[in-house]
Amino acid sequence: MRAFPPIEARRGAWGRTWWAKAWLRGVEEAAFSDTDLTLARRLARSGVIGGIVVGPGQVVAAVPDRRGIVTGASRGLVTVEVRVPAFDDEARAAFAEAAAAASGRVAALLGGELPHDLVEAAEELGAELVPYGTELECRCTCVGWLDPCPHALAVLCQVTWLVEHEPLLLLLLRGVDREELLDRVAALTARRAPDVPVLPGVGWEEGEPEAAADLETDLDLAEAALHAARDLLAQLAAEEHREEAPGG
Amino acid sequence: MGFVPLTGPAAWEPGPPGSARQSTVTFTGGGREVPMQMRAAVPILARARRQDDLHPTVSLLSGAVLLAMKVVAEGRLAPDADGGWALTALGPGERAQVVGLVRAHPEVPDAAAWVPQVMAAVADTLAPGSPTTRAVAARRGRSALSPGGSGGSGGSGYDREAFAARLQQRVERQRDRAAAGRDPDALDRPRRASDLPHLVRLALRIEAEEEDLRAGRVRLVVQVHDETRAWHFCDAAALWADDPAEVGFGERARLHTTLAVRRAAEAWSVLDRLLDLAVPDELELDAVEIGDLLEHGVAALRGHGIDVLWPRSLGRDLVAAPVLDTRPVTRERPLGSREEPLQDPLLGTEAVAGFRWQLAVHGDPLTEEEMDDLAAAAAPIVKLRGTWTVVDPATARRARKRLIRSVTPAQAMAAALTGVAVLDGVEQQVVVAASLQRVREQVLAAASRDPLPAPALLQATLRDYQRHGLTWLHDLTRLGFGGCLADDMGLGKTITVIALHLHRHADPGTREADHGAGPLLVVCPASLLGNWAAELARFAPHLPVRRFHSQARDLTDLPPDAVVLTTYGTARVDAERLGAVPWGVVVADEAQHIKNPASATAKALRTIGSQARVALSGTPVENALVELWAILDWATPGLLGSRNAFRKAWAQPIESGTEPARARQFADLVAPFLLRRRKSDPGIAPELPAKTETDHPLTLTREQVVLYEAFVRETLERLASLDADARRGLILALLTGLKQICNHPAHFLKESGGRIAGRSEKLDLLEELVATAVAEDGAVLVFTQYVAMARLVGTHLDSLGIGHQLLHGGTPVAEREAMVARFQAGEVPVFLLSLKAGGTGLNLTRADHVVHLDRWWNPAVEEQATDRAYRIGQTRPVQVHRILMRGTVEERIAQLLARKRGIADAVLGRGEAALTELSDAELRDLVVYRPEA
Repeated sequence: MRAFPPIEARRGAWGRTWWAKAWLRGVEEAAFSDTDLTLARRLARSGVIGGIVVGPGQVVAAVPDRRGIVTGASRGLVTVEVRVPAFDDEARAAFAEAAAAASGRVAALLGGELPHDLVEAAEELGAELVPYGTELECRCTCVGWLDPCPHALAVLCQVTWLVEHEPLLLLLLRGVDREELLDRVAALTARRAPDVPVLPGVGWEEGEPEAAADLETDLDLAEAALHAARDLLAQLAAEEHREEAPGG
Repeated sequence: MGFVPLTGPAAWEPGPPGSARQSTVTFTGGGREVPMQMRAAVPILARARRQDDLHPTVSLLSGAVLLAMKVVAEGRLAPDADGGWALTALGPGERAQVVGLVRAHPEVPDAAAWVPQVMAAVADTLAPGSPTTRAVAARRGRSALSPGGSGGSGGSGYDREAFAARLQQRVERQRDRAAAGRDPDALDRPRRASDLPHLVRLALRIEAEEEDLRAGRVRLVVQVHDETRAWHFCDAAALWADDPAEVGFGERARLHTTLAVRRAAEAWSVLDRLLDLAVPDELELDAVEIGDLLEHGVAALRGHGIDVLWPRSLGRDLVAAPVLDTRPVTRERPLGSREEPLQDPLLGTEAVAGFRWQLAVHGDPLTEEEMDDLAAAAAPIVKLRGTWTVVDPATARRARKRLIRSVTPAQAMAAALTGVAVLDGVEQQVVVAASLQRVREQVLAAASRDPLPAPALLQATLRDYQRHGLTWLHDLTRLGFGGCLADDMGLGKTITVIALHLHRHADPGTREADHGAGPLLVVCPASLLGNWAAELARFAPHLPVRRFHSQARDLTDLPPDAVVLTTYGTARVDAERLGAVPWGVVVADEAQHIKNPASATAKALRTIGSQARVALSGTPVENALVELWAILDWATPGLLGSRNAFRKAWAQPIESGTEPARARQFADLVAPFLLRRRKSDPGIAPELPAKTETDHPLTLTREQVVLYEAFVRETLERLASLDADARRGLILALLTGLKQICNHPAHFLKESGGRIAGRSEKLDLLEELVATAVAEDGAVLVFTQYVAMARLVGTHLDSLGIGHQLLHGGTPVAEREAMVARFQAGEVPVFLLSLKAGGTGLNLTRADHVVHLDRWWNPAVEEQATDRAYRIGQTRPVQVHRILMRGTVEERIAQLLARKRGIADAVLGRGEAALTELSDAELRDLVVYRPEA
């Protein structure tokens, strides 16, 4: 589950990357009319929508309706919930297989990019990542009687911006989190099933479990930075010491 | 890493959001600009702190870097919302340090903006790669540096503070375990997977079997190293083949390897193909890719900390070095340089100098055939002398197009002397081929080799140093080069040039060359024309000498050994006619007159072609670089490059004092073309006569001629009707008046104020002499019979800013002693004396020049005056300059003195009074103005 703070009022493009554009196309397909879309876009840019929570197969957000875009909303605040069909076991395996086929694909995902060939390969194997319009199942607490209503469309428009920076959110919407993907890919790329070398009873003595692999990956990088800074500082101290030493 | 200037302003350019490591720092100073990526700039800025003459901008950047390093060293960094690394919130103490740092640098207007940017960039730079997850998007305006800057919220997104806390725990646990590891019992414990290294650094290994090489391919194998212990490594294939623990890596090592390969592919895009493989273990590179790796890949990958390892069996030391040679090449374009007429390239008229690339393997030069083969080969790895050898594309291109460019002999000599040349925009070491090496040695030896004998026709004995000067001039001019002879005044530059002219016409090498030795053109200030003519008449009376000046401007039927004397002014207006003569040598005397290359005179002089050019200067020129450039660029065009190139390549680095090697190189380049001997040099002074006397015959100006002739005519008319006493008085008045006119019109007309300059050559010459003496740190005594003239000279010296003092008959004794003391102490360079003030035993040994502005007509009186300077206690040779105006009574009496010494003694023993006894006809003969025909 990923919780994002509210997005401030902003202008400019909806999506520059191909996958953000693909997502937005799905959202536009889901809309009933251009009027709804225009309202939704204006609302999404206005900075009034609350924080968005993205979970497995689900997007939730609160939307104020102060401007009376949709009449009859209770107390000016409505809740939007969007559901996306999750991958079944077969599709999960298929997507992982496509990701494992080329080592650069996972690296790209972790680097904030969604390789087009990965999505194509997964589709061929039966796992379609980017939802199309009819797959977006919207619910809103407003009194409007058409789904998706402009509130839901506005939230989905904002998700475009989130997806642009974090394409892995698309996978989360299909019910697969980073850790699961990495575990599956690791299992596929190992040519031999790994012997788990962890001895019985040897975890963290303090009893705290090690965090998910992806967090640990970033901790590895941060730790390297810490050591680099310490090494350089130690080197400076040594040089200074040498300079002060007589005859040094 | 090179030398990074820290005392000049540095500019900060932040990278795009999420890529703070792409920020750049541009250091400036010493005329250089050094842009650096953060990766390289961080250690430099961290060390800069210890230096105390930093520019404020550098000091600010340095402070920010150190502050950020301390925060990172505490593990307080986390992913930011843009996909990069950032510092976590600073504590109050650190915030105070940031504020203090900004306040301490009020000179840096953007300090408040720079410090947080620099600190963020340090965090992003020290981490080996970007984080794989973003922080929860923070609200705009919040950053790690603003209070409460954590992007915290519910959910599982990274919270910076939480991330940093995890990191802290991890580091502490490792420390605890390390401490436990020192416990001997702990050695038995099995290693755990979590202890194994996860983070990796890549290296790329090239492998090639014989059949691969024949097909022009190699294999590129990915090698994975532990990030902190480079000696712990395995192939990427092995990391995937087995459980990573078996090869000593943690389970996240695979993930880090893929991430590292992705970063490497950003540096060199061929590696993208590795990313298409399930296991990024190896690639096959074809010829084009190998070429690209050699040309771009290796350097780009090294910038990312990735080494490319080559097998020892592949020869890697094929190098191309620029060679300077006179090998004949087809003349594709004429060798002209700027506006100068081409000087005869005596390096050999068919051979043109040029830079070529010479390839060598293990230091052995390749033959032309081998280089041709290499140029024809398409593959970057070829079999050369039985060994497969890597040929990087740059080297292959050089083998294909070996001639870099042709150069003029002067440019070739410059490269031969300095050993460096700018080729393809980069300064490079050059190898000088044997043919040019010989010329170079001749030029270098010219001033010190066994000197030539004095020419047989020279009516004088040359001193040793003058023969060395002659030899130097001859060797340079024979090779088509020019030089600047900058000996101290009085060492005999004029006679050396006369000897050069005689030698050129006697030496078969120059006399029988294509154009012969050719006539000599001397360009000098008008006041020195007379001296040149006098010296030529004295030392080489057989030479045909012509003046090309005022009305007399005839160059028809010029004999090949003629000497033509002209002034800078005439050369300027009549350059075209002078340029039509095939001169052997053109001499510029007092060459500081052409030190401004933009002046019309200097430009005109450049259009007069000759086989060689010689500049003479009595003032030291080696200290003012741009003036030296102007003089040497005239003498040997192209030697020092264009004025702008010279400024950039030599003047700025030398004058800024930051590159001592540059000054040494410059001395190597210039020394062979500049000969300067000082009177005080060992070996010169003992050779000098203690006293040298020079006559300076000068010409009356138009104004002087008019005054002179009118005064003579009027006086002679009046004389006819006078009795003996009145007659004597009028004759004395006539002589006095004429001497005053010869001195200066203002002197005769008793003008006070008004224009002084340009009305008398006596004053012009005096100005030249005094300027030279002052430049040599010498001192001058100026004698005149007239206090009024002395005052006139004083006024003129004032306007030139030259210190002087005047002593005359009316000066009180105490004041005289003070003046002598000041002069002897070197406080005043010019001492004006009226001759009548003599006889008081003044001791003025500080002076090494004595000028007699007007003649006393009594040698004994002049001797006495000269002896003020030339007496016991004098350590330097003394030069005596006697000035007289040609065609006037001054010259006539000097001739009388010289020719009929006995009679002169008799006549002049009584001084001017004797002249009052002359008849009208005798008097007329003595005083009437007779300019040369």
